[in-house]
Amino acid sequence: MKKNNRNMQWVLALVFVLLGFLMAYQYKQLQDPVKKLTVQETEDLFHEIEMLKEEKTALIENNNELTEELKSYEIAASSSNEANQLLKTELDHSRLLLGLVDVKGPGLTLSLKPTDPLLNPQTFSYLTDLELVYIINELKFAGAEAISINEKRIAIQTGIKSSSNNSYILINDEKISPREEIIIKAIGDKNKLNSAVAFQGAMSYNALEFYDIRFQPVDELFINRYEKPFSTSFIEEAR
Amino acid sequence: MIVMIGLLIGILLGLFLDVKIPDAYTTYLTIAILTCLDSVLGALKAYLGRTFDNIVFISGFFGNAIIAVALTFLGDKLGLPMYLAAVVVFGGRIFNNFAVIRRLLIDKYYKGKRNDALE
Repeated sequence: MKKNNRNMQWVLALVFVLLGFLMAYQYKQLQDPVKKLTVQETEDLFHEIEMLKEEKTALIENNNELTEELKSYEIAASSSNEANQLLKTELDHSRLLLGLVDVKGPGLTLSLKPTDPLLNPQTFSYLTDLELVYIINELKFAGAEAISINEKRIAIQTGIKSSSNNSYILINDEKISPREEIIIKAIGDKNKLNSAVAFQGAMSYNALEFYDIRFQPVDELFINRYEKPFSTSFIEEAR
Repeated sequence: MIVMIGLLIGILLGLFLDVKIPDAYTTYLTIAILTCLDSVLGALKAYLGRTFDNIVFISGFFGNAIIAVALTFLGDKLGLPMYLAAVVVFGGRIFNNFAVIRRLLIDKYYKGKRNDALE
């Protein structure tokens, strides 16, 4: 009888452990107001991201293979005579200009980091497409030959646009966030680029004044290529 | 005593253990908590009235919780907010239990006084 009583006490304790756990858990859940997605949705999203990432790597690999193949065809075709070789050189140069190949060279890196909104509570705003276009124009005016924003190459058909009330900015249909650090790379005459950016007032356009802006000339920069196909649905050569 | 220790361990576990119960089950969890609280108060009442029985308490603790959760689940499936019924019934019972506990405690207090006086 005594032993039985003892056992019962343990069971009682266990029951109260359960009760305490449930209450504390629920309390903790309610303290966490940021959570909006259900666990299932989050898992689904993670899964989707993983799948898309895999798909992307596979496609990039595929793309690389095909590019290599194309190159070998071109080399084979151009090795036969001088005219073809000239054509090949011309083609490579066009690709370089269009941003279809990875490039390297001296240039400038520019980092834009938002400051704490509390520092300017009345006037603070995040940067939009306008500021980025402005910076690109400044850099191009200073002779930049290749530019990328957060590793997204600015090519001849690149558009930049704020979306969803400026919660993100689309570059080449990919999102970047104005709430996080933005890195801009430009290849060109690094001193010229540097002086263009360092010019008094050059980097205080609109919301740029609320950003911590750092720039640095670099001897060798790497900028990856434009990874989307160009569209030519409407243009044709006029003769 | 052992009950208090158990409760404390449970609260600590709940606060610091990183278990994830899917948000979709929040209603079930709250209903379960409510029924468990009711059972605990019922047990306290029985203890003060000297009719406490472990088996009754434990079977009530789990049984009520399971039935309430099952009803809530059924309500979810039928688009009927059955959890309201559970909240009303068990909420009412908690107040009832409190009333009885209060009376028992007051009785005990007066009885103690009377005994003191007799001695």
